[in-house]
Amino acid sequence: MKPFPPFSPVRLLARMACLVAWTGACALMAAHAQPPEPLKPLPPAPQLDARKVDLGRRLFRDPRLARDDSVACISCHSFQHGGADPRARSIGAGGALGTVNSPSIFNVAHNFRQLWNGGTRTLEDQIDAVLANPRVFDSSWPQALGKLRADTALVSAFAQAYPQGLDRASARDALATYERSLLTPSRFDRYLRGDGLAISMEEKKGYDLFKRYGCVACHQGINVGGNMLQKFGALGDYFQAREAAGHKIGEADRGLYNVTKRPEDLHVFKVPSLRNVALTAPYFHDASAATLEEAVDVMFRVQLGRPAPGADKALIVKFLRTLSGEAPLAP
Amino acid sequence: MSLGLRAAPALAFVLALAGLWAYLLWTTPTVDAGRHGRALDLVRVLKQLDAARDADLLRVRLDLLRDYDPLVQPLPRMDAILAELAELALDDGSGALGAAVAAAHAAFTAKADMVDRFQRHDSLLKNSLRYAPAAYSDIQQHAEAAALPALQARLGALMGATLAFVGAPETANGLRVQAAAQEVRGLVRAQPPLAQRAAIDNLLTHVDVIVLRQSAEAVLLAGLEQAGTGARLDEATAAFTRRFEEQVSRQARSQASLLALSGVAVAAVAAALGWLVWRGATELRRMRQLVERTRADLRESQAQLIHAEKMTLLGEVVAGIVHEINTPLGYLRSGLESAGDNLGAVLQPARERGDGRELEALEETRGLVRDGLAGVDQIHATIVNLLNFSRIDRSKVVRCRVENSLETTLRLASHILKGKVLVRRYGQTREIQCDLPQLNQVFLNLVKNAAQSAPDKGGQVTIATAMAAPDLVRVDITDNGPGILPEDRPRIFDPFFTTRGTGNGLGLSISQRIVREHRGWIEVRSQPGAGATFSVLLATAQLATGKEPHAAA
Amino acid sequence: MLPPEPRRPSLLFIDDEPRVLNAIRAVFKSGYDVALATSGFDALALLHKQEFDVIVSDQRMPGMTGVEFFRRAKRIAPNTVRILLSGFADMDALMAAVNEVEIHRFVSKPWDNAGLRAVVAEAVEVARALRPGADHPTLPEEPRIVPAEIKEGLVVVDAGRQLHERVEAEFGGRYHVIHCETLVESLALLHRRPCAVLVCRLDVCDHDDMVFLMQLKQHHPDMMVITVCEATDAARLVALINRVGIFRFLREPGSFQLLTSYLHGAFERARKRRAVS
Repeated sequence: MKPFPPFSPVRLLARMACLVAWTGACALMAAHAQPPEPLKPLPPAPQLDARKVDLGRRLFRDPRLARDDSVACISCHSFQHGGADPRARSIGAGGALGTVNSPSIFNVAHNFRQLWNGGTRTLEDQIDAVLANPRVFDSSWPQALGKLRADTALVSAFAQAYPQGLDRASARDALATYERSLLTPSRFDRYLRGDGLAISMEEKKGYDLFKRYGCVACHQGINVGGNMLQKFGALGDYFQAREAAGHKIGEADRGLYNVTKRPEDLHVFKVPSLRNVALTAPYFHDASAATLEEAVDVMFRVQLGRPAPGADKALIVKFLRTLSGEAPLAP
Repeated sequence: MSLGLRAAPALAFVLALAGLWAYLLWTTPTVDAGRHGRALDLVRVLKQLDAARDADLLRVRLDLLRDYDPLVQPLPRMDAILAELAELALDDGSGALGAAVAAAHAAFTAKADMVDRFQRHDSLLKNSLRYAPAAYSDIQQHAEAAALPALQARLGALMGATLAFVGAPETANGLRVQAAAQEVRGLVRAQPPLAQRAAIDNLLTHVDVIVLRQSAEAVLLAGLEQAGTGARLDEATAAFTRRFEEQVSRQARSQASLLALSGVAVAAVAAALGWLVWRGATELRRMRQLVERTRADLRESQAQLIHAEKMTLLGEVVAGIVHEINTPLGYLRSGLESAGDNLGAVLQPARERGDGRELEALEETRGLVRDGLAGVDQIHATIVNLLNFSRIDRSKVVRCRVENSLETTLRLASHILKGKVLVRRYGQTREIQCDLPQLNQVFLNLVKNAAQSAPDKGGQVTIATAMAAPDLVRVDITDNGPGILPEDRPRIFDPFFTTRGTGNGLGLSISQRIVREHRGWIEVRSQPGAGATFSVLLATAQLATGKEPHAAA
Repeated sequence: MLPPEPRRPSLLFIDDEPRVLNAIRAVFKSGYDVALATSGFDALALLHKQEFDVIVSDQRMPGMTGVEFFRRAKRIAPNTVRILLSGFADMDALMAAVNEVEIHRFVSKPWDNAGLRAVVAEAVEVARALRPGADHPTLPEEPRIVPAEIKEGLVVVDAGRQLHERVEAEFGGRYHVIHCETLVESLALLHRRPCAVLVCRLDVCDHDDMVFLMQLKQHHPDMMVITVCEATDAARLVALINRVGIFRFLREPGSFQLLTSYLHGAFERARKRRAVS
């Protein structure tokens, strides 16, 4: 019997067995008897400087970041819609139409990379990217800071929170700190922490199916996703089907390829977090699924590559609704 | 005038001396020990993060971990550390140092990328591995497939080949799977349209995924094993240390020159110079000590980290080992027993026939079978001991008597105690509450030390238990060896302190840590030449804990 | 219906190691019809074709674990007695083995042939008793409103009262719920008034419970026992399976809902058993 394929496990086991049996000097620590749960509860909110969070909150709503003062961060990250944009494509400075559906701003601190294509590693870099993006803010730091410095109240608030006052680093840090505070603990977190009554029997069944059908292969961890990249259409060609249905496949559909230019990264995207997923319609980077049910269908077809009874999918959707948390306080 | 003339060369000499002195003082490098310590700390943390990630990767592979958070969570921290190291190297200005840090950075970036890709393959592979058997049994249970025995057989062969490939992902096995898949395809094509056609196609897709991803994953894992992050970090550490030593020795050389200069300098500056030299020397000593200490710290924390990681993983895989050994033992034991029974059955007719040679051979075989059975039971007893020692299948904190733990330990340590006289003096002790595997380790360390200290001829190890106080259990482990030298006494619990050439010198320090975690302590009594006694003192368990009422909810 | 033909008891063994199967065949070939399979898949195919009295399966196998196989096998052949034969008992597999697939015994490898023969012989007896054909009467309706004196009894053994109160609130109307502080107390009580189901909270560190539970089971073999324990080790659970024959095992803190469903299951099973005997 060979339960553990590569990684030369036999050698490892043999070596370790020898170690124990013959030196006897090793203590064997107790193994974790519980089966590892693939989903993890949201950790408690970190201790953040309240002044910086407040500055970030102000910048998040400040249209002066945009070239023509027409949009702010919150324009495309609506707190009523799970921190995402209910419009298929977001509208940026000068009425420019974005290339993808804006993902949720909630719980981003627990995503390992930002943007759909995983193009930026940190929140600070993501802020730089959207500020310069001609379809989002179409601005630059000197331009934005120039406008912000005219606001004496803002400048003095920055001087209190940061020794260097208002500059690129402090503005970026304030925004990122605010984003780190946007966490949405949900009923399901209470369940994971041992409150068996936090979710209903049906929702529990849905969670069990979510695990059994293998959704957890990608959607796992604290954010139920957000910690890896995966090819969209791993088991069924999503983009070919989409093109056949008369949709144009554009540059934004190439995903990680746009960043690395490696052929194997074509159509590879960040696996999005499923927290608040019931609130963040439409779905996928191209907003091709209008409802959660449709999105689950697509996932079964192109990612899991298996059929499933409609009743099971309905239960999974029920489970997904338990991931909706309380929205952080709006202004 | 003449005074001025005579004074001029002296003045020039003094001025030249002063100039040279000032130059030497100015060029003496200032060595920033704090910065060096910081760099070593950073490398150490990075190494720990890397080691933890390696362990987590293995856990993911073995399905002991089912989320990828631990693989990606350390990334920001790693990036920040690498950036700070690069900054330190840049400040230092040494090209070799910069190159070493850059190499480490590149190795980490490459490894993160491989981990990234590993996650992609691993998730798809696990999905298909989970689904393929279910898809197969669905098809198999369908009436249509049941009516086609040829298809049934081919599908069975396909699943068998796939399982074999998953067990041993070698090219040959992969080709076998593809061949089996081809046969199924051919068969399906030859049939009139099947209702199960879509389901079979789907199964084939998943089998393809398994072959493709398993192979890709094997390549990646091989790559990860050779990622060389550890080696690059070791090189960076070496570069930092080399650089630091270089600076320290340059400082020492300059100071030596200053010393020589001051030797020929006028007596008037001697006092000032003397002061300077004294200060330089203490500084140098302090620096050297600092280097020594940071090195020792590094070594210790790395060793303990690796030890802890190894132990945890070991605990996790011991379950696998025990199963692997017990399975062959199972059929070996049963088979030998059956063979013995069969022999018994043919022995009687042989006796009646009275063929002496045949009878002798049969009797001998029966003896051998009996020996074989005894051997199997002995191996099994060892496995049971090993399990009892590790108690990985038991709950963590238990109530027990120290004598039980001592007996388990002594059984496992029997080979160490060979040739020594073992004396047990167990008293009436009350139960204690403890983490049994940890306590076992303490006793094993102490018994091992005692056995190794006792002389080869007439060596004796005495183990005594008693109540030291109404709520305190005492375990004395005594040997009749040479005892502990008075100068060694304060250091025996230090990590890496060892009086024997063998061993890592961690035994007593780990034992002390474990006993302290149990809120107990270790006492040592020793007379040079008259042996040593190590006493472990542990509090008894509180009565009636866990009896408070609480509901099952 | 024709009277059942006298036939040899049939056994099915599953192990991914063919040598184990060889050894087992040597032990059982006389006296039994033995079928062998090297994977859960093959075994399921056999189950579709043929009836078995007893199935013995390994736990750790590639593709399909023993418990998973039993889960499917139970659907196909619910009246077959299931035995797990494995080299290592991990808690999770054992919990699933008790609560989901109701294994009859757990036998660890290496086994001794006489012991295994005895376990299998006993399992065959149990299976024979379960087999339809003995013309079981139909199950009586679940009692809705019954006079207090003939209510079925449910014993809750717990040092505290909280568990008893919750069970009383949930089941008090339908069953006679009795509280005992210790197992010894319940032994005395059951002597006077037999009960159908017993729920017992076990102390983490106290291993004397086992002796009392075994006595209890000796005197009242038909009583359904559910044990609740905060943490336990595999060896103890194996003893609870093999020597006490517990019906369910619940790990604390578990949900009360789960306990409720186990209790319903226990009463239903008790009724079924009475109907059979």
